[in-house]
Amino acid sequence: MPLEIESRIEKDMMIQKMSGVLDISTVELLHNSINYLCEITKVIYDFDNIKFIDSTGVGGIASVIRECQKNKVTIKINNISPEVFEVLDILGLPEIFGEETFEVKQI
Amino acid sequence: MVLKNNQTVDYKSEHQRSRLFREIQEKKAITPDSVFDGSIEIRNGELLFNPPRGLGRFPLIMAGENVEIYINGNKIEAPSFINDHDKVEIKTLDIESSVSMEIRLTEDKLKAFLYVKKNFGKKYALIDCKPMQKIKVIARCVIEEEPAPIRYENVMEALQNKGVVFGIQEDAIMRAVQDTAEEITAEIATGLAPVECADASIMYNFQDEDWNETAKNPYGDGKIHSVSIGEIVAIKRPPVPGKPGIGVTGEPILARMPKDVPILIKDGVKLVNDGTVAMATRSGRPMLEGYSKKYLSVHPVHVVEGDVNLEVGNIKFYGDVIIKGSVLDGFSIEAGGSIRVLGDVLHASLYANGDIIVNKKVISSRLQAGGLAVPYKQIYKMFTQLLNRLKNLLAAMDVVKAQRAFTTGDLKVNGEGQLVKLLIDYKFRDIPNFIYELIGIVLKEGNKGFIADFSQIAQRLSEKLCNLGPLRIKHQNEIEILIQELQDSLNIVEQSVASIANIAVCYIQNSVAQASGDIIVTGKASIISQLHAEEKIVINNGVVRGGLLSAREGIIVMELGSGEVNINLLDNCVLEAATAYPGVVIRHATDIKVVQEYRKYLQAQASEGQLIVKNAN
Repeated sequence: MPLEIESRIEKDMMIQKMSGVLDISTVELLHNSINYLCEITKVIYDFDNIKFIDSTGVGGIASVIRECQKNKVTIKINNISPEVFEVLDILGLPEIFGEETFEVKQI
Repeated sequence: MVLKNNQTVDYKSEHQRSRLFREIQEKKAITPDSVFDGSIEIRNGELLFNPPRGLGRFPLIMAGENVEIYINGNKIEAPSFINDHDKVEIKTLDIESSVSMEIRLTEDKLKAFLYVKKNFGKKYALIDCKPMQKIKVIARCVIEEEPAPIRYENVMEALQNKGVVFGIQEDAIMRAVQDTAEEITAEIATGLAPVECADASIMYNFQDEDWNETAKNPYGDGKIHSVSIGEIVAIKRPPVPGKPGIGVTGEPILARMPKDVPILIKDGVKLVNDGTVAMATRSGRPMLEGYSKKYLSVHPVHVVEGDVNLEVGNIKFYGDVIIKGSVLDGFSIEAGGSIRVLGDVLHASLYANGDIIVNKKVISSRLQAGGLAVPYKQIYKMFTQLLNRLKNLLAAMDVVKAQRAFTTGDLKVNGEGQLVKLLIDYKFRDIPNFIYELIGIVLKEGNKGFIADFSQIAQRLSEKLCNLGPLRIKHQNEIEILIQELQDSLNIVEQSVASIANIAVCYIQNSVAQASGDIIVTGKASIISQLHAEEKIVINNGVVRGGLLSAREGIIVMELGSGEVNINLLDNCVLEAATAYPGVVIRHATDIKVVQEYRKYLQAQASEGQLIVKNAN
């Protein structure tokens, strides 16, 4: 299943709605999604439709967060399914990048 | 109203009423128009009621011993009024005779006991009471009934109900049946106890050297305890299984499984005869090492028949070293085991992981026993921490891989190292730091050479877990192998950490001696020497002239001073000197006390930060 990213910009905020699988075959799209931030000061990823992830995908998320933080762009990942968040949590991402960066979908 | 024992009569007849009235009038000689209180009487077990007249009071009734009273069906707990419309019922608390019988089995089902409790029955009757306005109704026991005896058949039936079929003692049951006691406890069935097993045990064909004995006579007889190649050093007595027994319910009772204790061996020992005999594979000193588990090994012994001189040179040996002569000027001995010098040590250096014993004099030399315990302790700590972290990392890998939302396609293509890298980068970031610290200790110049070589394991850990190393890992098995290697190394270190090394010399002058255990000077004196013991310093028969003594547990000296002697007391250490001369300086942290005059039986102690000096007697 490919990864689709629906992107829109509201003032200085970029919202990226993602659907599909975040894995070795699609992680490049995630990297590319922050190529042109320009005036953007906040990026929100909507993970509502991300059902599966692999270690390359986790590495991709970490890399994107690190890149945003380096450029002083606020990043938030919303609507993460509890299953995907469990993976991120075991690997220690919330601990490193801050719990506030990740928002789990309320079911 | 008429009441009988356990009977209720609602109301008395007209005839009875008039009779009662007449009786009361006669007794009290009161006219019908007078005022008088109501009364109650118990006569022949019956309650008779006389109502009040005019403004007289109603009679009061209350329950006494062995009686319950109900007014209109309600039990009364306190004195209560009654009038001629009340229905009063008095019950005596009769007790029926009874016998309770129970069969109880012990937890191991090897015995069955009969418990019998007999209760005697009691019948009560109301005690008569003359007419009164307030009465307490009391009943007394008039008949005591003996309980029915237990019968042999009842006991057998109870045993059957409990499933007891084996070892029933009919005689014991008969005795219990005939017993007239109120309470009976009798063992009425006995099973067959299993025959206990014998655990395995190990007999060592050598005695671990008794340090105290050695210290008393460090001169010894020059005899070195050793075994030669092929000699048996230990024999195991194998475990003997027990025999099962039979419970009173007929079930077999299995005997406890005997514990098997293997002979644990290290270098220099081989197991034969199915592991029941340990044989020396080299000549040397047999030893038992280890803290929780005892490992048997034969330490190689390097023997120098004469002096350590230019012909022999410096000695660096991983086992024990025995010098039958003296260690002469400028030479050094480093031993992974112990060092024993039958002669003198003159201007020389001795470093041993184990004990150092010098039968004669130590002059202007340096002795260090157990000095390697320090790096070993550091390595032990590192290994333990790393082992825990790696085990946690492995567990985390398994948990991640088991997640429903996690796919492992990339791990199959690129290897599982990718996941290891992620875990080390974010969750286990301390692992590389532990490894760098370990490498620092292992490769430290001073530790090289004669401690066990851990550089290989340190290097492998670094290759696999530091920097981009994890990306080279193909399968998590590689982590499991690292954990196993680390565990093996930890076992080696554990033995060295637990060892305490002592120094025993006859005489010491102008020298430095450090021991992780005791320092004992058995001869005449310690002259201007620095002695530091992690446990005790004992100079029972000699004098201390000048120098510095420092110990953690205690210092026992026959004669202290003269000459400037410095005593450094660590926390809770006690100094005892049979004689002390002026000028002895005793320190504890910043607290300093100087002995000003000749003292006998001097005692000094550092306790709770205070230095206390006093006379022992």
